[in-house]
Amino acid sequence: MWQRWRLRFRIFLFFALIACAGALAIGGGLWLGFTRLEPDNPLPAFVIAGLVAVFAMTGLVIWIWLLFDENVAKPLENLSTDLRARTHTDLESSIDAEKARYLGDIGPAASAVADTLIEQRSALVEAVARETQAIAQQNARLEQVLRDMPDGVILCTAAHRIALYNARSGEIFAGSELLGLDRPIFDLLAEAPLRHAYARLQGQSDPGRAVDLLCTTAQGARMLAGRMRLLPAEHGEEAPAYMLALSDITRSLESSAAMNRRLRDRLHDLRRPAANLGAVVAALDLAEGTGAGALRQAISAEVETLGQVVSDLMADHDRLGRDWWPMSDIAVSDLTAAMVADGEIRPGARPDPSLVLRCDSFAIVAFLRGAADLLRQHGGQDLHFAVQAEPPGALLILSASGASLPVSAVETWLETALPGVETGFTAQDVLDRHGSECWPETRGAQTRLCLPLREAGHTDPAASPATRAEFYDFSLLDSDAPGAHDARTLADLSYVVFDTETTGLLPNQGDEIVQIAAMRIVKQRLLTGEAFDTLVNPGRSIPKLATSVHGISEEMVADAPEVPNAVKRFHAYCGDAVLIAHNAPFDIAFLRRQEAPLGISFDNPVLDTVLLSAILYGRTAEHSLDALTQRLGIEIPAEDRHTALGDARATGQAFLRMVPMLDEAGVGTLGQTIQEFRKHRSLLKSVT
Amino acid sequence: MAKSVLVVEDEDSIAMALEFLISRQGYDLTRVSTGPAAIEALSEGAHDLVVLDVMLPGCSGYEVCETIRKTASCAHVKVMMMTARGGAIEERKAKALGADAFIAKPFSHVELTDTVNRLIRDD
Repeated sequence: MWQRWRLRFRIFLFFALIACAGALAIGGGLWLGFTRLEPDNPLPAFVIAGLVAVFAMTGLVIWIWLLFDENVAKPLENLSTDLRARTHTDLESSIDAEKARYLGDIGPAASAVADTLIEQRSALVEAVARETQAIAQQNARLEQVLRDMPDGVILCTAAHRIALYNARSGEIFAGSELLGLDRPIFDLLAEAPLRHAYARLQGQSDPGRAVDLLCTTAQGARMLAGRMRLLPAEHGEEAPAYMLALSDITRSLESSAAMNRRLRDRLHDLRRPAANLGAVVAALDLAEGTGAGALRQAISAEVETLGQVVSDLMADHDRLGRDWWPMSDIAVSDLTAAMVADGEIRPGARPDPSLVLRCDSFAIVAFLRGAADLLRQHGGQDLHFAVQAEPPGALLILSASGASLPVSAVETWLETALPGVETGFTAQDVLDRHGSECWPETRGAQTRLCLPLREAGHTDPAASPATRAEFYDFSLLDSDAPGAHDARTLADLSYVVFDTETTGLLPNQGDEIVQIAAMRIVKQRLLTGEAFDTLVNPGRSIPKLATSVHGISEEMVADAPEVPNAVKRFHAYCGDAVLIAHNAPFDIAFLRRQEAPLGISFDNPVLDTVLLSAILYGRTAEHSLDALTQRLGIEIPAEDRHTALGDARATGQAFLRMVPMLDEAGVGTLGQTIQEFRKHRSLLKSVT
Repeated sequence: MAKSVLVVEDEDSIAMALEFLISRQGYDLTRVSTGPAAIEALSEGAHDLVVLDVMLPGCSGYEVCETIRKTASCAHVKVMMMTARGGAIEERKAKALGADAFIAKPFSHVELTDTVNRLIRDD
């Protein structure tokens, strides 16, 4: 009933009650003292009266404090947290007004404010979405162009950190986890040539000029040819960002070096029998009888050696000499699509979708189109194109019915220029580039024109790198050079949010990691495309209880990397980022056990979402990952919970939602956050 | 009656060596230097084996081989092709056009005589 009364009237009644209760306590004490009053000695009666009144008043104050704490202070604190969460995140659930049922209209009013905010935010989001749709389409086109560029393209900030990379870069660096936004470029490429090229460009008077450079990957495994160009400097900016275009020349360099080496060896091999032959032939003119026979045998042996060297030289040329011309991989399905595009040629046998040909596809298509014309000129009809795997290469077959195509016609055609390609480029040039031949075959009523390619392979769909969801963030170009972490805002730092699954809870008693997963957070974006996720062979049994929690069995980790290898890779993935985990000391303890044997150190700053939750929601709230994500409106799919990657993603999402709330609460920098952590550290022992 | 071998080779030095090595095996030997001459020789006389160079003036050894295979009267004639470009693809092409054997230059006399004898024995 009294919940319907106005708050002011209720507070008046409450204070009236305090006044009455106080009066009653004093009156009661006085009455009790009066009943004990001894006229000769009134002091004990007054003492009793005073004590009773004091105890009654103290009890009354404590009761009032408990009532205020439970029904006023805690609801107000909850309301302020709920309001803050809805102000700074896109949480869309309504505020539960029942929590503040004794605070009059405050609860419903806060709920109405939150609902209005959510409605207005939704309307704003829709409006922004409409306005940005066109920009997003432009961006999508730009992204597609970047993805499909044949060169690796990397945009770096003035601090030499990556702000953009394309798919080809991923291929050049073989899917390295070190290729990622806001990572140092020097983790991937040798530092000295890049710094040298950058310094040369900075010294140029022409700001649009580019310099070519040669550099190796950081581990020296690949040689890259590149071009660096500075971006236009922003006003007042001394060191501009720069763009790198890279191509992998390892193969052609290796081929060229191998060819030179072989040529040198073969020439050396040739010189000896040639010189010997000269001497033996000179001697033969003068020799007679058995002497002449021995000399002839010597000539025979030297000639055989010469023949073998020449054969080897030819084989080397066939194997290595083709690599001077740039080849690329093309899927058979793509080549078939190009051949049948105009509808005049039909696909033959269904192409093997995993078969990939190594060739100059433009030249090959031009060749095959010319060959199709040749077949038609010789009466060919109903043309079909097919590719048949013939390891290590493949056979391209253009077939037609009704054609009569002699090899002489093919050989004449091979010497004529192909239409639509560079001037004077003949079909024979295409064959020479590919070290191949072409010939007609007759199979019943069908005439087939065959073109073998020396190199083909099969793609492994499981091994093909997934298209990364994020590959650029231009806001990185506006970042200051990274300095001391402590002074930087939480929104400005780069993070690795991670989780481990283990055989148990006691790293000091032999428990080990069975899975490590992590994602990076850069500029307030969770980079799902730059995830780290590996099963780990713990080198010991996995208890059934642990398997029932995370679903990882001994069979699953049998071929997985062992703990030291996995931790070393993860250490490289972390770089200098701030680490985030939920109940971090648990996960960190497993990682630190590997520090001494591997000679590495996880000395990155660490943030713990348990402690962040305690800063925002108080120590008494529940801080498990489930409770935290539920409070922040984050749903963890059931199949992801208790997987390292699923929990790492949920932890990252929770962190991102807490950052603006922390900023509002005056905890905006890493240093401030770590100071706050010290107040709540004891919590970590109680959270799992 | 001795088997007959037609050597089609335009380079005199290797043609001399071929004549010497094949004659020593007891076969009758005729030598021509061009593709058209080879086709004419085949139409005029009965040969059991043609030792055919790929690179010939007039028309290539591949064309001669194709012509032999398309000529009904030459159905029994064996063809052995030779080339200095002796890769797997060239061998594949030669055999696709009807050659029975393929050897790469330079070759040893043992390889040559063994191949010639095998083809004639199979005839």
